[in-house]
Amino acid sequence: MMMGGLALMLSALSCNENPPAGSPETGSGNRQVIRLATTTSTEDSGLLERLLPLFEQWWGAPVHVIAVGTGRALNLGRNGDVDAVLVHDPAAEEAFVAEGYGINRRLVMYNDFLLLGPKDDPAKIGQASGPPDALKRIAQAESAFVSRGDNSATHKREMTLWKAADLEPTGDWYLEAGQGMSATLLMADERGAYCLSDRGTYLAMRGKLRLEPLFEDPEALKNPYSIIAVNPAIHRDANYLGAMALVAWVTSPEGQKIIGDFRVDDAVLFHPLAVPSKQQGDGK
Amino acid sequence: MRWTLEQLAEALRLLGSLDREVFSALALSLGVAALSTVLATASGVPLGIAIGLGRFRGKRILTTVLHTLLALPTVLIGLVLYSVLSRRGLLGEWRLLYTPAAIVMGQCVLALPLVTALALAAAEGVDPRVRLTALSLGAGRWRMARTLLSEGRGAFLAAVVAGFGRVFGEVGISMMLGGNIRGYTRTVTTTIALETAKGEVALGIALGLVLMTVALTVNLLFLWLRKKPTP
Amino acid sequence: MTPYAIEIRRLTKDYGPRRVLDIDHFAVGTRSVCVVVGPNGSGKTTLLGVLALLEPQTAGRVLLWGEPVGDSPAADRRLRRRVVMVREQPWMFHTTVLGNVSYGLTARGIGRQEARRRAAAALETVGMAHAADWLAPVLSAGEARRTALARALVVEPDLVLLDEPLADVDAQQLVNVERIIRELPARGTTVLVTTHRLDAAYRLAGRCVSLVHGHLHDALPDNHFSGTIVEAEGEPVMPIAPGCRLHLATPLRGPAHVVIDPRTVILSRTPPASSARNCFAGHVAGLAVEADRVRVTVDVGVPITALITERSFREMRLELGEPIWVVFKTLSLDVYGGKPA
Repeated sequence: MMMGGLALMLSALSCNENPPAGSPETGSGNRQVIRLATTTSTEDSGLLERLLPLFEQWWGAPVHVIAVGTGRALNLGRNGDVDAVLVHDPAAEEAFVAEGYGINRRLVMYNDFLLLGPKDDPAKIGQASGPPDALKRIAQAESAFVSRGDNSATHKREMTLWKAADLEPTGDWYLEAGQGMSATLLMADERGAYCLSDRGTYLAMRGKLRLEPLFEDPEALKNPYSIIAVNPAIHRDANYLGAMALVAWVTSPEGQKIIGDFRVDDAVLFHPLAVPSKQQGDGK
Repeated sequence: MRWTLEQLAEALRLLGSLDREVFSALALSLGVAALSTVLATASGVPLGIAIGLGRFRGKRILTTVLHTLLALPTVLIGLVLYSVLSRRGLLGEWRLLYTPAAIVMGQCVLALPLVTALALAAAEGVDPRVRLTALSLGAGRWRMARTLLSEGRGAFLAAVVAGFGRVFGEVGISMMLGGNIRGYTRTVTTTIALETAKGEVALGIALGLVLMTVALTVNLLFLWLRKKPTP
Repeated sequence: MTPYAIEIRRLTKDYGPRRVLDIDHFAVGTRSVCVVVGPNGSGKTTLLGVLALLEPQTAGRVLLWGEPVGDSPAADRRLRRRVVMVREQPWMFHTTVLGNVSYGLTARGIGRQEARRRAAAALETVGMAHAADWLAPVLSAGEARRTALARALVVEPDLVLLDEPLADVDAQQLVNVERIIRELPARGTTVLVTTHRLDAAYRLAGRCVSLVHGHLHDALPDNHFSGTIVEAEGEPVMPIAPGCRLHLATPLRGPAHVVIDPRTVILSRTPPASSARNCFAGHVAGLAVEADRVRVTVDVGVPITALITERSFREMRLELGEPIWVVFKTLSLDVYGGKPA
């Protein structure tokens, strides 16, 4: 009874690209909904809003995007609550696949992390020799630093860097936000603190921040994104077909071109990885 | 101070240019809130009356437990229901997670203790002479319940209104059980949360104003309902 | 088939430590009117509540038409359908007057149309037909009482319990209401009325009992005289016995009742030389000791009761048959009934 009433209500409610047709689980052409778990930073970048509608049109089914932290996204995959995951934490991804929860992992794109901070750069990280050195300078100067603190991919990367610098960040100057990238950036901005962020979120938030990118190292701070389909052997009713279609599409020349062409304020956000740059012309 | 005022001004300006997505979110917010309020009322009011009028051992303890449930955080409800509704969970087969139905379930759990507790108070607050007079005139159990509802209608209606208000403005459950999926389970409150996290303060305020305006309209409707005399 | 609509045996009702009712035996025959007279707080309302099956007794047996009350919920439900109680301050449901009066009928499953028809007829009899569409809570006390009466009578109960039905009813309607009550036994209804008005008690029924502090007495209070107030030498008097007239201070005339509080009656061996107009000669006809006081009955042509302390009694050394004077002030007489001259 509840589903029936809901279906009725939702048919009346939906005024998006999903054409209403009976059960909310069905798209226009009898294709099942594809559920994709991704990270908040990916969603906040705005890429998916550009990328997915074209896929939905082509495939004929809506993609429901659930944006949570990396750890949670992978957990959703483990529980079978989603059909595919798009994350940027290679170690965790490898474990995910090794445990058998995911199959057909494909690299999609990459961007990089940046160290942002107040304009006057009190810790002088602009002159650092590398990411660990930059963090060392911050720790020594005891300048305020806001961390994601939520075990996300960004956070784990940050912890890796601290370890590389042989430091354990503690003290009043080190704050753990426990929130998504945008919120963390706002907090850092508010306090005039340093912060590690992915380029995508930074570019999306640039207009609201007084923080500036003070240290960049596209090679050392590379941030690769992969898409993985949830293993239908473990979750029989996962939409494997749809997930595979999605994987195929985002790694196709067409999908990759869209990724490469995506700009925020004229800045390139993501670099396509799946198709060799030679085939799509200017890849960088 | 100036920044705050600027944001407010910007919010009012934005009200004029709200797009389809906002209306979709609004319709969803209203829809799930209405449905959960109806369900919570249908179960909470009779339950509240039954407990309120009952004379049994443990009534005080039960009432205390009920009042304690009022403090349930929405994120906790969301978390518990998530583990139940997840594909691996108890009701995973129903595939309700990240659908509006899941939000309705969570909001029902949120509203039910509130409606029940207030209906209980309403039932106890009805003049005892009502019950005695109705009894004396031969009212059976069902007629008695109808009479109590009618005589105490102000307080009972307040229970429903409170329930609606509680769920209409909540975000924890919508977020955790709905997933904030664009175009599908994105409510006004989750949109506000999202936009605010992105620093879009003015838009957040604008959406908040929209939300409260709708809430005001609904409550005006309730007010009109209350004034109607009984048949 | 029992001739009694109500039968009470050794009934007690306590509210916590307070014993509100303590009745050894009480019976009311079917198709009759019985009036229970008593001051406020005497337990009248509680008695009606118990008889209406709205309150359980603490101990004792209550039988309605021979069936015991309190044995089983099903039996109680059946009995409750035959009894209606109208409170002193009746509760009006939040609906129209007509809606209120139809309540009992629709509760018994009678269709709405028919119920409203009967309700309208009932309103007619109590003189409230004009108010059928009014919202009941706005009624005045007297109007509410009449409406409640209609509400109770329209379901044609076998037993009607009326708590102070005449209070607040205006003079015009009083006659009407009293007539309705008197005519109920002819329709097969037994009526139990409580009131603190003695004049009404006598007008309503042949059978009156008094309830004082939870105890039922099969007679009315002491020193209660019915008669007619007339004028003699420009002063109001009521003859109560040959050669015996009560001097009154009241503007009322005509049929009335006079009550003298036994505590205000003074006994004197010698003719009193005082301002009191009411003094009568008689002899001691009865002596009864009650706790620390003595009830002395003096025959002056009619019995007059005086209540004196035990000490006074010992000092006076009263003896049965002894001649004695009774004296009381005109102002200590309570007059009920009568009409202004």
